[in-house]
Amino acid sequence: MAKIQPTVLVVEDDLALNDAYKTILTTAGYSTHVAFNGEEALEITKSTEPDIIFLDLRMPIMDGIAFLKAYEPKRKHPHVKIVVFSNYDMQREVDEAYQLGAERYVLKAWASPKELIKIVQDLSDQSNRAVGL
Amino acid sequence: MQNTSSNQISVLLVDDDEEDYIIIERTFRQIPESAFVLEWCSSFDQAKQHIISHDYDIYLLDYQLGEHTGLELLQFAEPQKRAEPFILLTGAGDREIEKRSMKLAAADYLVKGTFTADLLSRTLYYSLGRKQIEEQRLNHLIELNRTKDEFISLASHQLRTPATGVKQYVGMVLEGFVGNISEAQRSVLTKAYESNERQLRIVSDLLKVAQVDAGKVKLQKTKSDIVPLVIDIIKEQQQTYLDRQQKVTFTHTDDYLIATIDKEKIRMVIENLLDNASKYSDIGKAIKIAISGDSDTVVIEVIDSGVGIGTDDQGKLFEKFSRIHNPLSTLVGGTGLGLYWVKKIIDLHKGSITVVSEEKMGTTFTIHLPRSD
Repeated sequence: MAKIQPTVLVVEDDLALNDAYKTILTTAGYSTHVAFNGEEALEITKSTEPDIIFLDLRMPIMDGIAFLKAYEPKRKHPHVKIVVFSNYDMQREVDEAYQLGAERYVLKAWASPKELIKIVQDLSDQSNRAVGL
Repeated sequence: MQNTSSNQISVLLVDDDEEDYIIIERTFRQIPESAFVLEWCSSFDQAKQHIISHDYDIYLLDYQLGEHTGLELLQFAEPQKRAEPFILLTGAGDREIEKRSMKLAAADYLVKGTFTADLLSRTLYYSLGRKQIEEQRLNHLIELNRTKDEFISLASHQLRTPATGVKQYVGMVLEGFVGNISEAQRSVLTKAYESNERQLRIVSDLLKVAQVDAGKVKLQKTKSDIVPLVIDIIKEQQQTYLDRQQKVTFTHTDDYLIATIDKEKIRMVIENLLDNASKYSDIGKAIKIAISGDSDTVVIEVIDSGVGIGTDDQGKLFEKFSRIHNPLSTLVGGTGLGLYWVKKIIDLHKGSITVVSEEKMGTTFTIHLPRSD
């Protein structure tokens, strides 16, 4: 049985970074959706269930924490892997994100394009193992 | 405050001589429409308790307090850290005592037997007023410092985003996401990428230092075994050592070396020291890390045979923005903040860090960490 390629949602308000992540993930062959804030991300998740979400914390309109509260990953989307992807290493916010169902925290500044792909592969392998692939 | 209404000013006289108290109390009564409420304490130890509890608005301390002195009480009270003024009562001509009382941050002094009700009243009001101004200045400085810390934090975070953008776009080209490039192009872009990485490291170090300076670093201590921690760090950094053909040897006297530490912070400390050992050693040189311990302390030694540090420079090694010039420093391009942060973290653990080094021979950093909290 072929491994399932994950669908990735990137929630990032910085235009240049949003575009970069989309290019990297699309070039690597992943079906990629992008949103510029939590509200847009919620809208996308109504029609598409992503496997992995890269979630920025500080965003206008709806920030990452507000998105997690509304999206309720623990209760409603337990199979979706959420990576907090922020340049603010604020322990309190990161702890809150974990409590709300985030799986990982990655400081954006330390993730090169290859490392971004590796995170997706690792999380995807975990999911595939979970379904016996 | 001692049972005074809001417009009353409570004063404690600390004096072991009742006659003195009677004279001073009489002088207080001569102050017209006085807001001062005087109380008397003849015991040195009881006075200390009142000082600890901040019971009074003003303290008048006699110099002679039986086997003790008012200067001892001043030393105990540390008036420079308190809002209440302390005034010393001295004998006539005690210039030396007056000077010492000023050094110990007394607000003023009065010569016993010579001051009138008017002078007493003015001295008390002036001391209170000066303390209030000091307090305002202090609050202003605290506010300025907080603003500075917030600015560094905000600016650093803001700087990270564009630098992260550069990392992604240059990284995409270097890692083949947008087609092939020539070796010459790769060489130029690699320099741009590394330069940007350095900027990201500076921002990160600035943030760490701003947080530790602002007292925002709270240790999350747990009982941790340092042996697997070091094994893990060496494993993670293996590629760096391989690239530089450096061999890292790890020795430990015990199978387990447990201490109550903030594991993540100590991990970063060890990473920092090992990283320095590698960067400031030539290709092919050996690096050692050794851990030992007794019942109270765990000792971590990071030993390199690198460029070493001259005796004159060793003293400023743990200072902020200290850059030591050596044959590899230009190449390494450190921030001068790493070892400052390391020392702060070790200090927070109530441990110590020392350095022994010889130019061209190598350096040993030794950390002593208390095992218990």
